[in-house]
Amino acid sequence: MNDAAHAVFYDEATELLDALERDLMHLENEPEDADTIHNAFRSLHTIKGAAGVVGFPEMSRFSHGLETLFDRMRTGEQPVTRDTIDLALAASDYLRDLLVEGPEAEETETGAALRARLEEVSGPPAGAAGGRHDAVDQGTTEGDAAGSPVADNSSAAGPTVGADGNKSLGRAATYRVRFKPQPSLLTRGADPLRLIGELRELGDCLVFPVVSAVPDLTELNPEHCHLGWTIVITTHVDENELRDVFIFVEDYSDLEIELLDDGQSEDENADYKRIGEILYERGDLDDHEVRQILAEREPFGAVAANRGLVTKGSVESALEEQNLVRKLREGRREALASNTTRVPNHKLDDLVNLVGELVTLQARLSQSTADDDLRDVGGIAENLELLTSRLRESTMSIRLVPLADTFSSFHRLVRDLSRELGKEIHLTTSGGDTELDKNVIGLLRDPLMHIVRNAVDHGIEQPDERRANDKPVRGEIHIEAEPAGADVLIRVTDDGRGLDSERIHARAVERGLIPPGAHPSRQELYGLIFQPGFSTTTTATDVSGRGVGMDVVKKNVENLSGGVEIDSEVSVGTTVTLRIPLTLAIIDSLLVEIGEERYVVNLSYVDECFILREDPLAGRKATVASRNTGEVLPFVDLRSVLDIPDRGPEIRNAIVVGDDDHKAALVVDRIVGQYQSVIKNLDATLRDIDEVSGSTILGNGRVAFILDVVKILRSIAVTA
Amino acid sequence: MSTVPQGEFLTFKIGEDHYALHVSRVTETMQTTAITRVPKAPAHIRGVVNIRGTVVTVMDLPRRFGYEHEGEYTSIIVAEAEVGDERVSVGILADSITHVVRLTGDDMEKLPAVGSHADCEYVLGVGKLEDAFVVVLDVDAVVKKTGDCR
Repeated sequence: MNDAAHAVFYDEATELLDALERDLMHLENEPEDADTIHNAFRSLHTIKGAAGVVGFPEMSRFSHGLETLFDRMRTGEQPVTRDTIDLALAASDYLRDLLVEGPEAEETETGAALRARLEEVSGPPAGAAGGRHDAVDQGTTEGDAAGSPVADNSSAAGPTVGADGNKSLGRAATYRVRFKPQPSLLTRGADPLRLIGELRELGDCLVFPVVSAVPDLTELNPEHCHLGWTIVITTHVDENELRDVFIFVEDYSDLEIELLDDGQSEDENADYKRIGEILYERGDLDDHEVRQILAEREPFGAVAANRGLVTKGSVESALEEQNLVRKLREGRREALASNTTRVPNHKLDDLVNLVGELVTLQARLSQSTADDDLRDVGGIAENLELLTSRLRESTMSIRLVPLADTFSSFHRLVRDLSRELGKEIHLTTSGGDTELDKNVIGLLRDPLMHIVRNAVDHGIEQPDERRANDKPVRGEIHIEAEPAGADVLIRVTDDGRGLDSERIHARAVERGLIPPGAHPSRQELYGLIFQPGFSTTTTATDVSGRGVGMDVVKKNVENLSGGVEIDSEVSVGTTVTLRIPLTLAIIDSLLVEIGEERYVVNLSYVDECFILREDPLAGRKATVASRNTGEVLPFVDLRSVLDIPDRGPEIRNAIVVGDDDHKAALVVDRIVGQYQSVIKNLDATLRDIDEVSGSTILGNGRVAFILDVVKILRSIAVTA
Repeated sequence: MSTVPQGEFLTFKIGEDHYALHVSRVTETMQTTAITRVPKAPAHIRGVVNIRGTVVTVMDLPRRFGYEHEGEYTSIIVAEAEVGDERVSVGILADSITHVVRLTGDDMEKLPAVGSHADCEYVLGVGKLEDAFVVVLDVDAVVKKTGDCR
């Protein structure tokens, strides 16, 4: 089977697994929904079949087991419970791993554990696909789905050991090295720092000291080594070489090396183990303690540390490990993410028709010039202009894809995070059919994810806090999208505790962002959240808040020529609104002249144009009436906005522009006409200029700037 | 920034002052063309030009150094600069482009020549030509947005 077929399979399977995940999320809320169970079953059935055809044997085999589970749900033999959904989700994650691994993927320990659980729940797979599992005991009891959470997780996401099984060259694997020297190590002349230094030369290291064995000062023997270290290393060398570093001290210390990430597995959500699992595996906690903490339904690390079961340092170090492995997997996912777009047939048909017309027109043009008959050329040029603009629209529409897929991927995020934090949160979305440029959507994912994480972590309160405030225990997060002119608005609303302006104020003063005596407005205060390094939570959790965050969101969105706004009310909730341009490439615009330069105004903001017979400036009137609607509008002299000297001609023109919030008449010298602007982004030397959002090249080769109408309107609204 | 560069340099004149840029930073030279004014930009940014579809910011060095150039410029030197982690092209206005010269460590001093208009924060070093001193510019520093100079 060739690479092209694999690429197609990769895309299809990814879509099917996405759909499966959506269905599972849905089933969690409505376990009785037979249609959804059918859909999930069908998805799996298709995956199984396609995997078999394309030649992913392990995938095909494994999906058969999962399919059996859904078959039993379908017939009502197996109830849909939280645990079966957990199992199915873990299994679908494993399928994703197998998909990334490729056709030669073999069953990992994770897979074996999952398969065992599946068989336990639904009985061994019958018939065709299961040839190699025939030896499995047929008498396993079914229905015992209520395994302990620890057992579930450790088997579902356990380490994929077997370091050299299918490790290919060039991929860095990540190991955890636990090194605990015996107290006498120093007296033998060994220097643990040197050893750690040697490890550092082998790869990227995160080093955490283990201080739990350090005695009180009175009992401390300064010649003994009381420290241990946990080192998470990402390296190209194998486990034996790591072991070799410690060869001379191995007899005088406890050394454990464990593979955390083999450089291959890759998970849709880049989820790594939960904190509890990491601490458990490292031996910092035992099984009993883990269960007790899980029962608390608070962030795991915080509870463990508060109870004094583990030190803060252990939790920090486990958090670092979690982040590192997550980051690695995310990186790999990006590298693999397919670069294809599915295009509805009718869009392609349109395109083909337009190209057909273009060919005809071109023939006409050749004919006219060959005959030296130039009478027709004017008409051809006109036709060509029309055709070009239709061709442009049609081509751009191919790059537009609905936001629905992006939205639905947040269901899983919210579910997992809220469980980890012990919160109950219901996520709803609307406007998923709103379309955006595929490239834009790709760049939006991270900022949106961050906003949603913030809402889950900082926005929605713990259940008892909500109960105490007479709010429904279940928090609501709503993501919606709607088109607004040339932009799309995306809002993330939560009904959580809202932003605490006093705390933001205090924090801003502390950080020196505003002088102590200042009284900024609420909006201005919210704006401070976007400053680098601003964060009002003092403790970092693994979910959000490490001092980077909203500033990155803002930067990413502004790179897309968009904007971010926050609105919030204490104990009612917070809304974050992103304003994103539909496409980055070409806009319909109005070309205007002011002074010696021409400028471009995005046509989608323009309501009407008219000639100003009398100069409103002369009369010192602050408003002008719309010719169409009679509406009285403030006017803005672009000469003063753009610092252009002189008064301009006697008779000038007004363009009425506006969005929902603001409307004004912009005064320009002359309106040249409509123009299709190919947008050129501004480079770093000019990006700070608020009045322009980009530039374009005119027919005569000169550069013209695109006026940022939204920012100009907002600036006059502030000064007015 | 602290190392004095060596190798080949493109030299050019603005008024009576000689300047130089390391050839690895220079992408092309051209005659001045229609410059579009940038609204609200600092004075040393004269505007932008279109170079084969790329919009390039054009800078006026004398204004950057705090004085006004007399007469019309004739040439633009297009150079690459790094701003943060972004690589940008910038045009530098000049009266004439003179030579490509080789400067070794022996020809270079770190201190700016007395009487030069350039501030030392924009200067990598000063080279000695047969009959004059030449100021080797730090193009990254020239482009960096520290507002106007002095």
